[in-house]
Amino acid sequence: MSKNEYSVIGKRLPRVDAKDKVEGKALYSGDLSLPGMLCGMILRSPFPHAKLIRINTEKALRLPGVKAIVTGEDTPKVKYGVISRSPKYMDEYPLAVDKVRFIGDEVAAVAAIDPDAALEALELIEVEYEELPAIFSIEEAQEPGAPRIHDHAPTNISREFHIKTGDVEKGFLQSDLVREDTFKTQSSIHAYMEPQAALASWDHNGKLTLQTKTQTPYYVQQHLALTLGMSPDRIRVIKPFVGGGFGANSDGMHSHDFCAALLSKKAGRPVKIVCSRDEEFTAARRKHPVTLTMKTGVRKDGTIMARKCEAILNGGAYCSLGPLTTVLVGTFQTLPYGFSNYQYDGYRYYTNKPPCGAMRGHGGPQCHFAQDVQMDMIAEELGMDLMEIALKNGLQTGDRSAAGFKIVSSGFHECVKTASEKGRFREKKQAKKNNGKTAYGIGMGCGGFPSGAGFYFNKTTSAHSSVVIKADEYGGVSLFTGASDIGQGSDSVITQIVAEVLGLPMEDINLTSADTMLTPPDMGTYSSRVTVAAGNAALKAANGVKKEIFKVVSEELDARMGDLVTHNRKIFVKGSPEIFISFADAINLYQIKNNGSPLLVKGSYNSPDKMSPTYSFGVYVCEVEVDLRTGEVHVLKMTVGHDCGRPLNPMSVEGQIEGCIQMGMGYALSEDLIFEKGQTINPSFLGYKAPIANQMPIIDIHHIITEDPAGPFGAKETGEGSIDPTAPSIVNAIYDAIGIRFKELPVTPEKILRALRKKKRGYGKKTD
Amino acid sequence: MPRLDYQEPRTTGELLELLEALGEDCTILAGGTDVVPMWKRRNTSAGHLVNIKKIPQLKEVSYDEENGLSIGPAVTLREIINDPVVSMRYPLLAKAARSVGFNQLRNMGTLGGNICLDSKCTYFNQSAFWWKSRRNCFKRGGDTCYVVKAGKGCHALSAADTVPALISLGAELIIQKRGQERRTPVETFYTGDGGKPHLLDKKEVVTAILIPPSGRGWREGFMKKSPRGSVDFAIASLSLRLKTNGKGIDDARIALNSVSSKPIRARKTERYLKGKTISHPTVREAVRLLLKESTPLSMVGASALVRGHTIEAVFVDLIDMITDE
Amino acid sequence: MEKKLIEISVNGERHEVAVKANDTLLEVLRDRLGLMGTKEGCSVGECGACTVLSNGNPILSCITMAMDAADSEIMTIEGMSDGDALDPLQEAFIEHGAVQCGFCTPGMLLTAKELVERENRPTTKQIKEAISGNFCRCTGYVKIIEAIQAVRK
Repeated sequence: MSKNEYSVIGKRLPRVDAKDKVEGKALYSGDLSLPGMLCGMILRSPFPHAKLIRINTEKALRLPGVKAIVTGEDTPKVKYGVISRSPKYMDEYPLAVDKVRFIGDEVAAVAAIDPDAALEALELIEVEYEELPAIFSIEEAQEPGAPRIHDHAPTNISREFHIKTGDVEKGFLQSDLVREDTFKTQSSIHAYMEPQAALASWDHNGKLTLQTKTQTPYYVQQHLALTLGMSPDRIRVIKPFVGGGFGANSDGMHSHDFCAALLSKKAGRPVKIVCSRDEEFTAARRKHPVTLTMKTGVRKDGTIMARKCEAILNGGAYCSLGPLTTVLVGTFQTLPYGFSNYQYDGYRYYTNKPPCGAMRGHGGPQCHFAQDVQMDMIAEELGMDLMEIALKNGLQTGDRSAAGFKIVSSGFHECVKTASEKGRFREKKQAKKNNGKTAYGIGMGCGGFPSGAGFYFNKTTSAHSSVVIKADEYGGVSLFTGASDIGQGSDSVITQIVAEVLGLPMEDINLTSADTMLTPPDMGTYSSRVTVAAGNAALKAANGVKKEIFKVVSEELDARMGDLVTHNRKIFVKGSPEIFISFADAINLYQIKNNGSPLLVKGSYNSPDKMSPTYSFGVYVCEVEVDLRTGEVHVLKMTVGHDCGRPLNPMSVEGQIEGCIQMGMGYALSEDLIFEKGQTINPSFLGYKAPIANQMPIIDIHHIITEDPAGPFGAKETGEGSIDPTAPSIVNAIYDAIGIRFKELPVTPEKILRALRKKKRGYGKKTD
Repeated sequence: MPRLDYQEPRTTGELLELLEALGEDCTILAGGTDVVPMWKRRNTSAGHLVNIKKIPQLKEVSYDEENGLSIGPAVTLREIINDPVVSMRYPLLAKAARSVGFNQLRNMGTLGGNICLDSKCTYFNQSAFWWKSRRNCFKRGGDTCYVVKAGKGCHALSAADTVPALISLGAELIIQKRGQERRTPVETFYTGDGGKPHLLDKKEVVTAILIPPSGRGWREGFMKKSPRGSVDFAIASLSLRLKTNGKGIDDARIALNSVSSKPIRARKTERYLKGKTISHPTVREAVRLLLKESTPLSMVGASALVRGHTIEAVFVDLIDMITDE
Repeated sequence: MEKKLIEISVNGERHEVAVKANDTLLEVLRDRLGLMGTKEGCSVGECGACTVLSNGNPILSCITMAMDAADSEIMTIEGMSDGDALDPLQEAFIEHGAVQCGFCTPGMLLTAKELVERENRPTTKQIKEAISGNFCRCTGYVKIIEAIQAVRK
């Protein structure tokens, strides 16, 4: 069926939950309550590295209104970590047992009748620490004799990963130009609007229900079981509405989930913990700062001959998804360009800072920033531009990247051409504007991203995603998916897919998602997997329902199954819509022919490729204006060429791109978690400079349709890959404007002014 | 939220009685946009919150040709922006009020609250938990400053955006305590000591802001630059008034805030500009003097370097704007 | 801490609530009146998620003392539609894809409501100024601005 004949696929449809949200009816974890509910709060370490000698909770327990207190001593003392296939990455206790390893590390938790009592109780808990020497930077971590943060990591390396393919030295020898540059990226953070929260309750059979802000309820269930010493089948995890995740909640359980559960068990009442914004900025997962030394060799026609990259990640105190980040910084830089000779050496170090995990793009923003700034430099040296380099080296359909990514569909070249043409890249590069006060520049950035990890974090026999559809005798359809909508719109997209296949309006479909008791397993929302994985599972299930319906209808209408279509709550022979059976009647026919059995069909999906089923591509052309006097950078316009296969809902896809640009702009120019001796200096929305409404540029998006064979209705991911081209396009535009290359993010007014001064020698007054 | 008591006096007299009785233990609640967040971070400990917004006298705006404008401290920034007299006769103040914070903060925040804004510091303005990790700074009653490392006192930033406009307009404050009333120019209300930034006794309260008639022949401009637009505290906010005749500058008023521990009245720069005509060399020299007078600090989102460059850019832009009219 | 009985008007209804001096308006709305639509994003007045209208003006309920709100007419997101029909802004947000995770949405809508009542055809600049205290991390603000522009009185 051509896309013009689709009923809902490809349409700019409102989200299925938009009405609830605009009316304030959507309930998030912090909005939930249960009778008798207590307020939980966590006590955190003020020291970056210390032995936990003694905790005295007596005074706190005596405070009226306090109902339970837990410390590490009250727990089974079991370590956990999301990459549970590999026990060496399970390095975290939910509550500190012997040591604290960063300022904010969880030490105890209190449940009381109200927040005032809980706060007061925290103040009364007496903790004896023995401070230990702490390390914060990679250099400190690498020093011989550096304090050991984890016993199992004598050199403080939490993960190393190496790739070696082809012959890099030979590749460099064959190159006409070789560049080596070092790039540094900062610690940035998700800064979603909804603070994390969890509500735990136990039933009379000792079964736990946890409602929590998560992207991965399935992992939360497993981690709770492990750390509480229970069987997972006695734990139910439900994800309510989620106010943004961006990867922070993709690594399963966090301490507050565990504490809410344990406190609730001890107090015999439901307990809700809502993290404060301070706690979010201080202790929640954040993006890895990475130092990349990138060496690239090219021929004089721009062909990339070899790449060698060493990446050093400052991982903070625990693993989270960091061991995977260490891999991805290496693999993601093999998109979107093809080259055969590649060596990558990645090292992740422990330090006494808050743990770094996954954040949108997960290694991609770091390596694509480095890659495309370097490629822009290479282009310039060769007398070319990045557009030409990109077209020369871009991966095509059927290629394999240097890390082994199988490119099932590539619209990359179209993205380059479209973004360049619509953004008037070459034309505007010629028209330089520098009026002494401001300078104009235009730059390009390119990226590619997987549509879901093809591998597992945990050991399981479950498929990556499964969906169950139940069609009832009234013509209604209930859809059960483990996929987690965190605001990116997966509930809507999955509903769209099923609606299209079954020929039903969206409102006939009732979706239940992300409830481990009711919905089949789904690995969760991360690595931008949901549209492809859960979407494909839903497609299979819906096709299964359609097949069963068509069997009975073909008999009834005396038609071939292949001639039947679904449309508008009806099933009929193509070309003869006047002779139809209604969807409801068809279900009833099925039930009659199957002894009253309800029509229940499941669909499962596993990635056919062990890395990822398919890859999206994006190219941004960015225009900036640099204020030469104040160092401010105004991003004027972003022209986007984006290949997500087919946008199932273009409005949703654009929304993701626009959000990615906001986050990418912040990453390039202003977002930075600033530390002093392991303490976050700007743990607030005021201090952490994420871009606001008045800073947003004009965004012009062009969808490149490639109809990917791996994706449902040809779709590929959008939600993560769209951040990658942002920072390099901005930094390359700044270079075009002022002739200065920045290799460290964020490119702040301070950095620009210092660089301008250096460049112009004596520009301006000595003001410091 | 920490425990506290709440009082709602209905007249100025009641307010002054309360302050006399409770003094040290009181915090004036005007808009609350400064006081309440600090409280929620458990950064202050005053036990009594005294709401002044229910006292009609403190919410008045009145004007007459002879005496000028009188604004009650509980008048919101929104009310000032919308007030027709302010827009017509003191547009500089309206512009400055418009630059404070963001929409909601301007609806809540008051002129009195902005004038009495506590000094700001990256370090001081943190939560009680945050402070467990280090020694108290001067402003917290300790013995060190984390901004000026060898400093002997508190250098917290004076950050209120309406203040430069008020200073350049020659505004005065009426300050009352029970049985006493005094007047002080806004310009001399600030101590430069981040720990106690205002010359205001704990039993005193600002009961009116007086702005003299603006006089003829003045051209004026106000500009605030901050990292993300008005949402953030300023890198610098500058108010410039020039009295010009056909030949040159008769008089100048230049005031800045958010660059140092107290607002700057750039008198040397003003004196320099008197009698000059606007030209590149004049502006360059004025900038040099202005930067010297400003002593910009590195804190609250901007380094001294960025502040210095920003002050220069803002001053030059304002001169251009004013002289283009 | 001693509690005092106050009368507070929310969405056209008067409520009698016992409040402590340190209760905020946000706590009263959510915990006492069960109006969960107003969100707590930061609790220190920096993100706009807790925005409600007080006498028609957007304010931050997380830093407004409950006792201070006793004389005001408060409108929360629950009061924005009239029960049957959505406010045109709510419709516009739905139609234009201005809602992703939805957490900023209630505060954003109320801020926008005051703007469009004040300015019939707000410019992009006016919209950006009005919403610059309402943080959103999902949409990049683009479709929010489009939705607000689409509403005409």
